[in-house]
Amino acid sequence: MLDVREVHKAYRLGGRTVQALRGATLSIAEPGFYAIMGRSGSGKSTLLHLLGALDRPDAGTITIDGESLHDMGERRATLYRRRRIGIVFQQYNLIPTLTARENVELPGLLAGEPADAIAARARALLDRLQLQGRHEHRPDALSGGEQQRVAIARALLFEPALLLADEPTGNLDSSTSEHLWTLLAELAGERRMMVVMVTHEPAAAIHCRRIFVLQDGAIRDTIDTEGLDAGGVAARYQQSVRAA
Amino acid sequence: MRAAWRLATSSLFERPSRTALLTAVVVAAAVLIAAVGVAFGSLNHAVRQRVAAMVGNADLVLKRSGRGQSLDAALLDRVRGWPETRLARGRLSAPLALRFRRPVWSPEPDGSFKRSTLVLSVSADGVGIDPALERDLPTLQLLEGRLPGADDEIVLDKALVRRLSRPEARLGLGEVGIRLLGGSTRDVGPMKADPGPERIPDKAQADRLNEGAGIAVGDWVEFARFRAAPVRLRVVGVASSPPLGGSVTGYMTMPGLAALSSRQGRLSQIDVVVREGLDPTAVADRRRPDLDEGLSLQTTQLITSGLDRNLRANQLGFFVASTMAFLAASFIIMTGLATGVTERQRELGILRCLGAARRTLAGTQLLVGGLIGTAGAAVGIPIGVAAAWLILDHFRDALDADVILPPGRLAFAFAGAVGAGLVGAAWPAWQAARTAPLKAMSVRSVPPSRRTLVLLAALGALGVLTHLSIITLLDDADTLFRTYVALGVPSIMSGYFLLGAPVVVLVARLGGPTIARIFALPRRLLGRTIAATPFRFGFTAGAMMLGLALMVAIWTQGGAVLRDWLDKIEFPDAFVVGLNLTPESQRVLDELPFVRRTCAISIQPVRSQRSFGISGFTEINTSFVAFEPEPFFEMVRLSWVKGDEAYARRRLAEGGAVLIAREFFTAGKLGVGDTFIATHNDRTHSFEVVGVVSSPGLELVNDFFKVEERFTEQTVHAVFGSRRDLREKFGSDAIGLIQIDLDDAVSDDEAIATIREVLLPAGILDAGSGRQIKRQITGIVRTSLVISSSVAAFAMFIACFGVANLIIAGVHARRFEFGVLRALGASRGLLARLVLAEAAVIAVAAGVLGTLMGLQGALGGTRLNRAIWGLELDALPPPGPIAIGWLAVFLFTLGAAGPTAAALSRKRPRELLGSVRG
Repeated sequence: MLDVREVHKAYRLGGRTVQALRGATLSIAEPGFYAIMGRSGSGKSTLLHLLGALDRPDAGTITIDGESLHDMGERRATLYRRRRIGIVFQQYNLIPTLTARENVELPGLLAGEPADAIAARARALLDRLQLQGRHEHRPDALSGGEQQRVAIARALLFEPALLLADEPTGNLDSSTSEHLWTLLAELAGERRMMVVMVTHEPAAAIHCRRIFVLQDGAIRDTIDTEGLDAGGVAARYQQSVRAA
Repeated sequence: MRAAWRLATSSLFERPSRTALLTAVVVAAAVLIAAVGVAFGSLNHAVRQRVAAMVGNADLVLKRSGRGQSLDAALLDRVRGWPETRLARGRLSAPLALRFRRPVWSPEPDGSFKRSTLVLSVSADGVGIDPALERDLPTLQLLEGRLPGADDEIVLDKALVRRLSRPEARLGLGEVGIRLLGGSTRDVGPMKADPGPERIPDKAQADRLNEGAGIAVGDWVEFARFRAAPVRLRVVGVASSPPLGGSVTGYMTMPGLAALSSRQGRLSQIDVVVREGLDPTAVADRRRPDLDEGLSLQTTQLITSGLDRNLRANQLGFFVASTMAFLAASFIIMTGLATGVTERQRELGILRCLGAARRTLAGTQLLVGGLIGTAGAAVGIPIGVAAAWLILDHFRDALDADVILPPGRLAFAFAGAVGAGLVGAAWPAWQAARTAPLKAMSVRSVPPSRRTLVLLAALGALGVLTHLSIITLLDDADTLFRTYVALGVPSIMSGYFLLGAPVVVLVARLGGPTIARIFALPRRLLGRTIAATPFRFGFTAGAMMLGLALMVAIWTQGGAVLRDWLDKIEFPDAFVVGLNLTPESQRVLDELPFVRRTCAISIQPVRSQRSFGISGFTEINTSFVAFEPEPFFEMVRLSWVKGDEAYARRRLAEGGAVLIAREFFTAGKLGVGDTFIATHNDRTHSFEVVGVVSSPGLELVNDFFKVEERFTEQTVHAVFGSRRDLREKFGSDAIGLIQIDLDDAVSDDEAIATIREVLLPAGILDAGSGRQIKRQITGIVRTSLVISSSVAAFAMFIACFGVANLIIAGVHARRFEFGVLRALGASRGLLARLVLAEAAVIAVAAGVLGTLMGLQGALGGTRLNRAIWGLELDALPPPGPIAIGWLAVFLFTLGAAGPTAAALSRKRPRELLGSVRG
């Protein structure tokens, strides 16, 4: 379903070239909650952006459900992002002048969907994410956790096969973060979709079924979390990093 | 589309104050254009009405060639006998000197009010009518009473009623040719049907009676005759006034007017309505050979076509000025919306991440611009119409014009307003469409590209140089005018606008330290902000510069007109103006003790192969000023530019020669030895040019007083020839003006008052001194400069909204930074002074740009004046208006920034630090 092969990506940053990915390869065959872990500067966000059709690799291939992202034109990529992928960011990225419901409806509005249909879907999603009574609140009236759940609801509007989350709990406290990871795991199971989360926290990774360890722009290891607790995951991660 | 609409409306309501400011820019521009459009449209309509009243419903007009000549009334029967004629009507015009003795109640020592008599005199146009034909060929619009039936009855127009009723009536702007000669309380008996009581006990009743004692239907008016007993005429009706003021009119029966003016058996013209289906031009061509020499048969379409062309030129001026105003508004909107796009980069990035197409983001900006433009038009146009109504109502005494709503101009105002919004949104739309999602969402400060600044400077310089090239390289008037309008004006406007950013950077670099010192700021704090966002500051300065540029250009040109043209004209000591003065009038003048010499002048507009103006746009004639050469040269001190005076005088006496005004020579049209070809009423004659002289302003005097002729026979400049030539070649020798040389011992006012008194019954329009007329024309020029300056000030006011919008956006974007400054110990006052100092930099840049653009524009104006009108003007910068303009720019700019600076200083550090960054 998700296949990344030998992907390379470099950026120019302040006059120098940074090689963010150097032949990253990973494959996910079935729905579930997955994590990409690595230190700061390992290329996690770059990989996520490529998976989200926000950028194109310099080399290599990315295929999702048979669709090639690596050679997708800008217009097709826009449409792809609109309907086939959901993205959740660390900084929520809600539109401050729209209400929670309107933020969730936004992809539907961009797609030209009938207003009633997307409104009903938006309300249902907000209720599912325990935001009853918060539909008409603007982002500045919501807590961090609530805002992130609104962002998740927005990402789920078109029931994508792939949900990408870039450090979704980076701005949240531990308790709220815990709730959020549990929620993502539930959604992955409930909707039979792939949820790929970029994180540097082992406590987050324990909720995932598999962890891809990214280091120096390449996937160095894969950790199956079945039977492991948070400590075990942390230990296995450290081991992977040292071995790399 | 729905998405773009939703995003656009959300964006507009997100920051209502900034939306309101940008909308206010369009409102202000729409108000200006709508007001000017309606005012000029109404005046043009009134001009057309006036000309229509003059030509009536006729298809053809038969009259004698030459001004002031009359026809044999027997011709009317002959014309009625033509098979092509459906209707023919004779018209007679003659001057009417009217007097009215009205009662007036004045206070007595015992507190009561005693009746006495005040004599009011007015010189009016008399028009003879045939009541039987009024239904088919109306001459007047009756408001009260009835048409005259007997020869001693008269209908007065409303303006004439006013002039004969109100001794304290103020002479309005543009009052020409008709004066109240003052009154006398000598008791010679009332002329009112009911003169009122002899004595009134209280003031209130006296005031009421004084108010209502003006002339009315049923009263009597006196026709003053030259060296004969006056004739009493009964007022039987009141008619509507001719639009646009000018001569007041009294209507009598044809025989009655003919008897009073000694024109029995004569007509001024014959109006002809041809049968249905016939072409008037073909009828005129067929009948013309049958007519005697000296008779002219013209279609009324020919008469009005010249007017139409001149009104079209006026319309072009309106469209050019409106386009400039809306272009300026679009610059301001562009700056405001582009600022918004930059501020909302993150939001735009999110939208792109969510799958918003580029065209959706572009469409959002265009919709925002379109909505701002539409709202501005919806609010501004009605206000502009109301303003025009108020202006026309205020000046109703002088410019009696109905307010009409010209659909073309109003539609243009609407389209221009919406267009300003759309054009202003084009660049922000392109910016928004280019948003790359990842780049937009990353918090990174990108310094402005130096290359972009250089590119803007190059493009701006190109625009400026394009304008300069046009005015220096093109000579031909038509080519120069057309190229200037189509390319020169847009080039100079966009050139200086684009130079805004580089100039602001320069000002910040060179003047920043001084400004920082004045505002007591740390040295490097001011320059940093401007260096980070030079385009916003630069384009805002560009918007503000336009008002100052207008002011500088207007006063440079206006000053040059006064100094280099009007001041150089040596008007006669005194003059008398009339429609057809007689040799008897001249003899009366010669008999006055303080008159040294007089010279009779005839003035005839002629078409020339070397007329001024723009071909295809304007139809401008030349005044043929005719005199007796010997007395004229004794009286007038002509300044000779070219030619030999002795030879010229001999040739003028022989005939077939003219002197030309220096403007012909300056414009490269004619010189000594060339041939001047003049045409009037299908008669064409050639004259040898024997000299180039500075005009003594006689044609100006004539134009100043003969309002009607200005509408259909616009003339610019003059040629000077003999009266014999005018009589023999064009059949005209009517004396329109008598030039008077006064004794030095007598004062102008005394002399003029005596001349008016003595010559009123002789049918003069007015008498005046050269000094008076120069003063009046100078006053008119200065008044129009002041009015034009108010337009410039209004343009600056419009730009204020742009400044305010920029300052608010800038403060909003940097509120976290301001919070950090406060946290580090910066005072409230420092933040406020920083904002004001940034505004001061904008003001300085606007001042520099505006002054340079204004001077360059004035240079263009002098080139156009030279090529088109032959005027040699020096474009000297006027220091006073420039200084006032700079002061206005500073006041407006700092005033626009003031409220935001004050609001910022009131915010607590925590509030500012709590803001979302970037």
